[in-house]
Amino acid sequence: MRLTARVHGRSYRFASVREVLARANEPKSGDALAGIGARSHLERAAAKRVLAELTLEDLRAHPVVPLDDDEVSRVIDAGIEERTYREIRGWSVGELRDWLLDDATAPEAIRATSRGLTAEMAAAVAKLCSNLDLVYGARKMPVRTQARTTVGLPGRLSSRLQPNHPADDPLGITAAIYEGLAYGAGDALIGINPCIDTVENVVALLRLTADVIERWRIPTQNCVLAHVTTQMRALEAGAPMDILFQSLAGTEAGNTSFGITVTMLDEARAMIHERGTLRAPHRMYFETGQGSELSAGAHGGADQMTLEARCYGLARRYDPFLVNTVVGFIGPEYLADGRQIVRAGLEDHFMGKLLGVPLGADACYTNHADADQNDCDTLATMLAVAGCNYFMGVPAGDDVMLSYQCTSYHDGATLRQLLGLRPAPEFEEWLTGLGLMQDGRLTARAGDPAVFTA
Amino acid sequence: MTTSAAAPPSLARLLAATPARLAIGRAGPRLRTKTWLALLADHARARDAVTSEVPVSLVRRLGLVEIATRAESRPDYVRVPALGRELGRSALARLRRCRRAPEVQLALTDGLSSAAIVTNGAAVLTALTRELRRRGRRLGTPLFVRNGRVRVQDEIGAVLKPEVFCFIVGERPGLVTAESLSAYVIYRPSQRSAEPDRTVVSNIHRGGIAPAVAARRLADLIEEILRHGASGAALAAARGAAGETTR
Repeated sequence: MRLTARVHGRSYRFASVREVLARANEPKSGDALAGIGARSHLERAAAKRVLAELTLEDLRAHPVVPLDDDEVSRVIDAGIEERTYREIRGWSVGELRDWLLDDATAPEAIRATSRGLTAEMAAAVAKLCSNLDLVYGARKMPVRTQARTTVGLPGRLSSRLQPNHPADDPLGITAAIYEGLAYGAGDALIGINPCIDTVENVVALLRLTADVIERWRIPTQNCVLAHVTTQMRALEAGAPMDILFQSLAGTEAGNTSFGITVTMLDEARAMIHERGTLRAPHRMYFETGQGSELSAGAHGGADQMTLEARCYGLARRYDPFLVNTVVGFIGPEYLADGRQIVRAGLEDHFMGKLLGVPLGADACYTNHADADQNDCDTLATMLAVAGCNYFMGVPAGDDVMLSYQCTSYHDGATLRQLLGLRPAPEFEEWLTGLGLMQDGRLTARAGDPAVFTA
Repeated sequence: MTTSAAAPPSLARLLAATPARLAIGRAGPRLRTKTWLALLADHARARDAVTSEVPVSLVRRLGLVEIATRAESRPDYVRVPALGRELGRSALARLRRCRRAPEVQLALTDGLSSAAIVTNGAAVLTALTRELRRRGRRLGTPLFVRNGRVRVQDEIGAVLKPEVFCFIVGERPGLVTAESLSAYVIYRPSQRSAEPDRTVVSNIHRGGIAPAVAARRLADLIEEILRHGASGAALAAARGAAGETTR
């Protein structure tokens, strides 16, 4: 294993695989904050060159957090299909990149190889990709999941309807759901971020969404994004829950800061399969985002992009229905501006899909980041081209509970019409039956919430 | 809950129950011009709230002693959180000239919204000062902390040693309001204090908890903290032990 490179007459030596991965990252304010990013453009170029020559075996042998210290590392390593891994372990990261992008490499071949890859390998290859590489590559890696709707089919684009309210008011939430449905949003999920994280409130919000779904016979599923322990108590209380949610971090210490362990997630999965209202193979939903480990002081010297890939490696254990990167939510300390948010969003989607996880994205930004709706438009358009499974749908893109901006109901509809993408087939049929959609396009009637109150 | 016999709520009633931008129509699949321009204006207000400075003239008018953190500019402050959690070089000398060991220390900081301080900071501080004086509390020298984050409260507290420290911070602006404040109230702060030691009152702005209402609520809270000798999680536990209801 060679950790040195000579670029334009200058020699660079790196101390470890972890350091190479960090220095090879595109510029991110979070890596600078952690003091681990490249110190010059040339050093970054040198690190990419070293990384391209490392083998997949080198990367497996040197996870960014040692197996002995970290259960996320152990979960990912134990999940590797050894037979698949043996076939590819001698490849360099550069060879993996060329193979993924090669016209002769079919989506099925990538999917079959996926289970031989660790998170560090997925991060490494993404670090050698340009933005357009990340779009082109991800498009070859569809990941389909099944609940009441089928999400992730090629040619389809779904959305999570996110009808948040600053006080969890049931009428206000209902209003936002009706408006979203009228724009064709909600085929991935109707998922509320609760303002009040109590069992009683979570049960009430699950009943509210289950009632709307039943009354209008909507082929979709509900979820309330409280802490996993609150949701488990809600399930025990008999709440009608389709999908169980949790935020993930890419290190054990990061997950400790979220108040979760692998054992707890295992119990949660068993419970949603036993007591959940849905009869389908995929019943979990995870959210992630670059920088959460550093924010908790739990990054262990590893870069935020590699740690993000490890979230997907952990998610893989649970065959989730949905995973999304809340890419611009964390703030400018980690992703400073629109350029960094766009880059991170494309990386996350590519890495997740490569690892076989059903990635969607919350293309978004907070008001203290140097970003705006134009950056959100750019990222969402690129991700839609890349085959992203779903986006958030929020009224006018303004989340009045979480005080950040993301994709609107309008944006979801626009991207579908622009790129000829359709909702999940079950949901398209439902929209067509209501007269809101015809031949995959919104009708004149669409966009009016009065459809559901008249 | 509505019963099956009751008529479902009208659309107007549903829409009135949320500040979300609903029933806004569309231009093709896009937002209409009116909606888009409103969003742009609200975002501009939020960005300006983050990047602008609290004017020195306001600090003087309120009679505050200004101290700074290690963050020397708004961009530094936003990008490197640690800088805003530590006092700058000249701050200690200024703090030494302030009143020591008061019962109640009050301070404002811009946080992520200078606009919140400019619009609502003066009203909260003035009303809160009046409420506390009326109750005969001995107040410290009021401070303005430029480019401050919540945790700098502990370092200031370790120097001034108040019984209770109420730190009023500009919140990360949203589109609905860019002028919201939070108050972080802590009993005997020190460098060993942690987040659970603080009691927080947030959403202080004209459309949320109005400044005058917030001042009364904070004065009551400060009295309670002095009575129990505890804040944050310890205060919640003390309330529970005393059979008091949590506010």
